[in-house]
Amino acid sequence: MKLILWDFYEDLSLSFILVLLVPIAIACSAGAIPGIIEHRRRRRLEEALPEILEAMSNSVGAGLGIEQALHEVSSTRRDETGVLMAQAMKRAKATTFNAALAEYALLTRSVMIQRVMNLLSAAIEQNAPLQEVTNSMSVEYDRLNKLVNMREKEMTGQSFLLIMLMCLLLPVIMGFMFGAFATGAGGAYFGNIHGWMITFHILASAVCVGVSGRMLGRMKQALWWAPFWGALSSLAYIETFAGVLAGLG
Amino acid sequence: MRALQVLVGSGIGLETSMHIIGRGGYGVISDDFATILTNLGRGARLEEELAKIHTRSKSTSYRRFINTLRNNVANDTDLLRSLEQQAEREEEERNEKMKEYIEVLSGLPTLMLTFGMLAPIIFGSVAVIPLMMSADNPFIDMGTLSTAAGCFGPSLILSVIAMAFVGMRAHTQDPGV
Repeated sequence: MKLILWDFYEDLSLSFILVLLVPIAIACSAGAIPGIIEHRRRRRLEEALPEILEAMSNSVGAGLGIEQALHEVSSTRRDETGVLMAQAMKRAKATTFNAALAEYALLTRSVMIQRVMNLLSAAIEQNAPLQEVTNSMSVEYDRLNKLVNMREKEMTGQSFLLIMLMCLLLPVIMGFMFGAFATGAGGAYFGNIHGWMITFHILASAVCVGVSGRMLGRMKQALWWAPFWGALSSLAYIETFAGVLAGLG
Repeated sequence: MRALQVLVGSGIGLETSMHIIGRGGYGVISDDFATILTNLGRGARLEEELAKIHTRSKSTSYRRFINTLRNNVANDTDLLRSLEQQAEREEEERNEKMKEYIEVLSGLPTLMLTFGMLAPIIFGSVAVIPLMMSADNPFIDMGTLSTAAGCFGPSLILSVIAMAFVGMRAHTQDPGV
């Protein structure tokens, strides 16, 4: 184990960029995790939105007021939406109902929900037919959610494939190619060619991580992983090269 | 568009609806509506302000949307019906764009791999040749080969730039869902 770690440190020290990149990659990977958790949480809340609006529409249609309708939703749901809504309803007792809606929207941190709550507040202020308003919004956001899910489902595979091909397969092939053909050449090992190749793998990984993130519609979040994939692809290249070189004697 | 449809359908007037949307959350539309309302406060006419946005806008869908609003202000047309029709049309277009996007990007990983693999193989082979041959080889001009090998690094950087351009399709054809 000690030997493997020592070898790893020694391989790292062959490139100055890698020495800098590995600690950055560890820090950035840790920084990416809250983004993933937050995205999942937000999507769960957004997925629940059409259902809530439909339930509200039914309650209003049954003759309940909008406050009662929201209270019913908050008391029947046991998920995060229910908890946040219950929290907002509790505050509504001390403040106004509109303030509670605004607070719920803020707590979700979702632009989609904030838009809906903004529209709902405006509709309440103007005494609009709330049953119709909530029903039409429910249908609209249900369609939008389906489209977002379709994108996520179709693009996840492509984005994963892109990362695997560019950040793992490409460095391994390149490491093998250079290891097999540059064996007998004195001074080739980790000379100028390898400096350029490591830079190439880091930059190509960053581009691919950005593109794959854009495919899923969350590039900023994906870029946190760029140092990790850059370091991994460079290490895959170095290790394959060293392995082939050792294998060929 | 759907938001405006909901607001107008609720019996809220166009200006008040624009004010609600202008508060924020709808990107450039919120900014434009906020600018229009500020100018209205200074005495400008709504029709003229909408015409200005219409001229300035580059997106066909947005121009159509602004034109619908302008027609309502100028000719008192049925705004709700127009918005409903237009929103349905835009929704269909968005679904089509989404399908196109998925189709276009399905070949992107292999295309980028081709770029990523070919560049180091071609330029790398040239770069390795001077290291594998002796300097007194009478058939190959080592000076030219060494110069070609020197271009290895910059050519790799250019390949990454080319890959970024190929990957730009993921951004430029995004349906905005």
